[in-house]
Amino acid sequence: MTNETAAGARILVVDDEPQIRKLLKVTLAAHGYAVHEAETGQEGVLQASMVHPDLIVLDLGLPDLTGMEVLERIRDWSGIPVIVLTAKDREEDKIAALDAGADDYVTKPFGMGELVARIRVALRHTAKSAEEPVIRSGTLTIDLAQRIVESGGERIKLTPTEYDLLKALASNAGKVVTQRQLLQQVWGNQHDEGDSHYLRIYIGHLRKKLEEDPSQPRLIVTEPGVGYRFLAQE
Amino acid sequence: MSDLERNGLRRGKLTLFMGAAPGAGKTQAMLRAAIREAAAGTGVCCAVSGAEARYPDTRALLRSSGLPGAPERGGELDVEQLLEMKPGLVVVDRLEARNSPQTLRDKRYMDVEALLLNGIDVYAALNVGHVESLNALASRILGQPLPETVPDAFVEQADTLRIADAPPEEMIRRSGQSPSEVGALSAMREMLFRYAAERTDSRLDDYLHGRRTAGGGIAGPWPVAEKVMVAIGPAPSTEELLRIGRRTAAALKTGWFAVYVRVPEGAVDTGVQRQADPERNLQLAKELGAQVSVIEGRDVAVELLRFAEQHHVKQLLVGESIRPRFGIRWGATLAEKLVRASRDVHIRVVPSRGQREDSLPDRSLQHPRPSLSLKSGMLPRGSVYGLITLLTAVLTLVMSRYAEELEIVNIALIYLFPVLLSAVYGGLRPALFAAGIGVLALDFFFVAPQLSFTVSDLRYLISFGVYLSVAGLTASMAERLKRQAVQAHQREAHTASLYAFSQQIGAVSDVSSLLDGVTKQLSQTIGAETAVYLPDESGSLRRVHVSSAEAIEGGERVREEEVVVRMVYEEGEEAGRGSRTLRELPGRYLPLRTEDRTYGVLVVRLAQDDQKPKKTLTGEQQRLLAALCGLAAAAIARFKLAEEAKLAHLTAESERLRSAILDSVSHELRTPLAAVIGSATGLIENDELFSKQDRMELLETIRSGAMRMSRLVQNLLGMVRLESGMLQLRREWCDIQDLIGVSLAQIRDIRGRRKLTVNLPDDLPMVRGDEVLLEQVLGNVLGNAIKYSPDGSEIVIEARATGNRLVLSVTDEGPGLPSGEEQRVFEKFYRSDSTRHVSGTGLGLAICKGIVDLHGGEISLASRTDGKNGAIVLIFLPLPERTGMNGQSSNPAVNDEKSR
Repeated sequence: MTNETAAGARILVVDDEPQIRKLLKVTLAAHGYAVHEAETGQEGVLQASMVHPDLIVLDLGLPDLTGMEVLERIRDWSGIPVIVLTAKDREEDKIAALDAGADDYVTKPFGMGELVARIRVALRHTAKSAEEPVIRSGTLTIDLAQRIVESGGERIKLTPTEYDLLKALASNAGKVVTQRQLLQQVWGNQHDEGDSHYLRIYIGHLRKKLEEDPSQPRLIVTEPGVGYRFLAQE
Repeated sequence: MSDLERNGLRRGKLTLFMGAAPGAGKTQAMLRAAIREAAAGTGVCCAVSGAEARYPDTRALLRSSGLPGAPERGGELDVEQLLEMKPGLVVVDRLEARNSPQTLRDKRYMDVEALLLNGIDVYAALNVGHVESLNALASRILGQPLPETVPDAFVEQADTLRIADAPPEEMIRRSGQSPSEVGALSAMREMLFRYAAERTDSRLDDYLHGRRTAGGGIAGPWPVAEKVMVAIGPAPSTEELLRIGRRTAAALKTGWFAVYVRVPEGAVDTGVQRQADPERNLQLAKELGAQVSVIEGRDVAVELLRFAEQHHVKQLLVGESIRPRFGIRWGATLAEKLVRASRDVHIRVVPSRGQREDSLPDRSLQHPRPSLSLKSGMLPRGSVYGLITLLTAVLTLVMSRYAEELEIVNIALIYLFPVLLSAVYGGLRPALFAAGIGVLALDFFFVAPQLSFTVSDLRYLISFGVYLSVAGLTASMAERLKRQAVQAHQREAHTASLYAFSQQIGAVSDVSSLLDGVTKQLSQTIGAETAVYLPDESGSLRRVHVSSAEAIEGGERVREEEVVVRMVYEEGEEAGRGSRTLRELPGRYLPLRTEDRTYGVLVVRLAQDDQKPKKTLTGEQQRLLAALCGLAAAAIARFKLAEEAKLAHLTAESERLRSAILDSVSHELRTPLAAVIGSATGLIENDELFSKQDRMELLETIRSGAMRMSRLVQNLLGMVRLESGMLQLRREWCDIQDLIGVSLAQIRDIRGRRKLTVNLPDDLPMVRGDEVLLEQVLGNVLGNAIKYSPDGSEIVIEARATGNRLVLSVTDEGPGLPSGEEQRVFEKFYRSDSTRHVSGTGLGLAICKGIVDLHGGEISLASRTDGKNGAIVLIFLPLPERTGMNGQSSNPAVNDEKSR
């Protein structure tokens, strides 16, 4: 998939700050998106139902409804991808929004490149209807049908847990996956808080097997306090 | 009183209506005045009951007055209800009356005191004979006892004194006394007038004195020529002496001294009778307004005269006990010695009133101190005499067998044994007794003619005389020694307890436990409840320590206590029973003061028992109390000073911080702002002037300026959150390797060409901590390392587990850190002078330290010690206990899986 497929997508920006709205409107329009604006949470929910945007950029700090309330109301009837804007030091807000169905987050102050990248990833995930059988990132290929992982043509041996973990991350390539979501997908419902310890150990194992330099990972990067992100390299 | 007013507590005005004797018309005068007040609109409460108004005309006046009656409870004034009602004026008759035993205060004037303390004016009636200092004289004049008295101090605080007088005949007619009383009544009237005149004079004196000192004139209240001094003895007859002293001083309009000379035990012949406890008399002297001094000295007369000369005393009153006692004391009496030795001082000798009262005290005064004459473990008196008799009888029996061989001289000497023994174990009297029967036995059984008291050879009488005096001297020496030993023992115990307590005070580290110790110690030794009041931040006094928890009583008592405590606190003078002011209160209020400040008030609530007479503090207890208060005050002062020093330091510190914040923030904000605004305006205004490259450069300037501001804001916010305690750790398992990876990614943009080396062991255990905050710490530390080290140098990141800690080190090749600044760099806004040229807020490391501290870890920064230039940052983080949760148990599971 390329940038051009995303062009023309409708994006709804819900933010009470005119400066941020203006910035987003100008830059996103320059990237070829059609931008709609909403100033308040109420208006955001209304616009979302009327405009039917392809993606919503939602500020979590709104004056009327909280961003979380807006998110929940939208999620009541729609799976439109939502990227939330948060303040840097509010990790618990990010996690709550992600666990409540937000697709990704961007921390203020953010660079435009980062935001546009997130938007592309989110749009791409909605565009692809079914899971692709093979995920590629650089020299790494993951054959989901045959459960085979290869790096530079060499087969890499993974334990079942490691494979499940890699699959959970790679199938959400580019998107942040919270620790809870990972635990849920790999260990099922029986996990508890203490299992985050195992999660870290397995991430460490995966990095050792997949990364060139495990201390400076490029494939599976940590979002501190939130979770992990599988970076698909073109 | 002005102190009370300052606190919004007006002290009520007391108007005393005084008469010479019953029938003088004082109640009538008082009622008329009250009626006038009521007519003027004052809320008057009349506590004069019909029963108390003895005369028909008074009763008629009371009935017609229409004054509302005061509330009563149990036949007495209901003070509590009165305080609720808050009338403007309360009218009280017979101020000296004693309340029924069930009531809180046992005298009516105490009720009045309570009213006055609560700002209620009082009219009260009183006959002059009930004033304490005049009471004895008045009783004698009237020929009948006047049992109840009102203390002089209370009467003197009356704001207005009004005299109700009638001719003696009129008084006799109204009161129905016999006409022969005319003389007595005249004397009483004279006493009243003189008293009133003295009071008026002293008012005038006060006034003049106030004027003079205010004008910068001569200070000192008394004219030098006219001072009075009373020599206090232990006997009750001194009381009369003190009253005379007070009257004399009052008549001369001067102050007066009461002096007691304490003779060290064991000193030879004192010239006064053996010293009993003078405490009662010292107390009375204080109550009568004397300036009381206790001096130590061997010769009473000399000491008294020396004191008199030093204090320019012109008149010395001394009691003369006319009692030619048989016994071992001889020589001149004190009065005689004084008269002989005095040069400028007039000695006034007041004979004590008769033998009866004089002989009583000696016995009664010995009773309270049985420890001196009857030490524990000693035999009861009766059996002592029995034993002496027995011993003498046995000796006589034995010696009569060998009378021939022993010779009379030896027999006489052997008879000294019972004397010596009884002197040592029994005291003076048993010893004299032993000597007596010894002589009798010697005379009867051994001196010729035997079995008869007649003595043929008269030279034996000399022997008997010598024998008796030897016995007497030995016995008195023995007893004196014994008494000294007992006294020394008591003093030693007292000193020891004080010493122990001062030790204890020195050891405690806070005021609270100190005061706990004081109150407990006091309530133990005195047997009364104690409480301590200290001022809080707003300056109002709070009760902070009570010796027992159930000490809270009814509202009126507490309120009263609080008012008095405030007064004591502000005046720095003790009050309550046994002191000079407010003696009618049931407690003793002592200021905890050092020379220049009062730190609080100690209250000793003396038990109020209806059955027993009121408890007062003994001299020993008072001294202990004073000593403990002094110690406590000194200790509090010590704490306060330390606190104040700390506060001053803190203030200076916060001052320094504030200016540092201003400097740092203003500089750190303005610099990037200038860059951002300058670049942005340049781009907007002169877009066409710039090449594409220039434009990119300006835009880059804007970006980096904004990023710098963002970091500053981030740091400031982080600091605020740390300091406000809002920062809460979200503890999770943290993989240090992962954290290092994230941090390295963060600094990718600023690292330049510096070489970053990471050395981590494979089996590095995880720590429990807040991932985001620890990453911030690492990011800050790495950021510093990059900021202070030259481009192209190496930065090494290492981690290892040692014992129960994980050590993370970041080593750079920068200039290092000047020694002495290792701690200071972690202070907020601190910037090392050597690195001023590098921009920064001085917040980063402070935040790092805050975060690491929150994790229970340590962070340090120092110059490298391996010979190279550069700094090394060490971060210690605690490792969790090795439970099943940790690597050991989980790794095998992972390894098992790998086999697939």
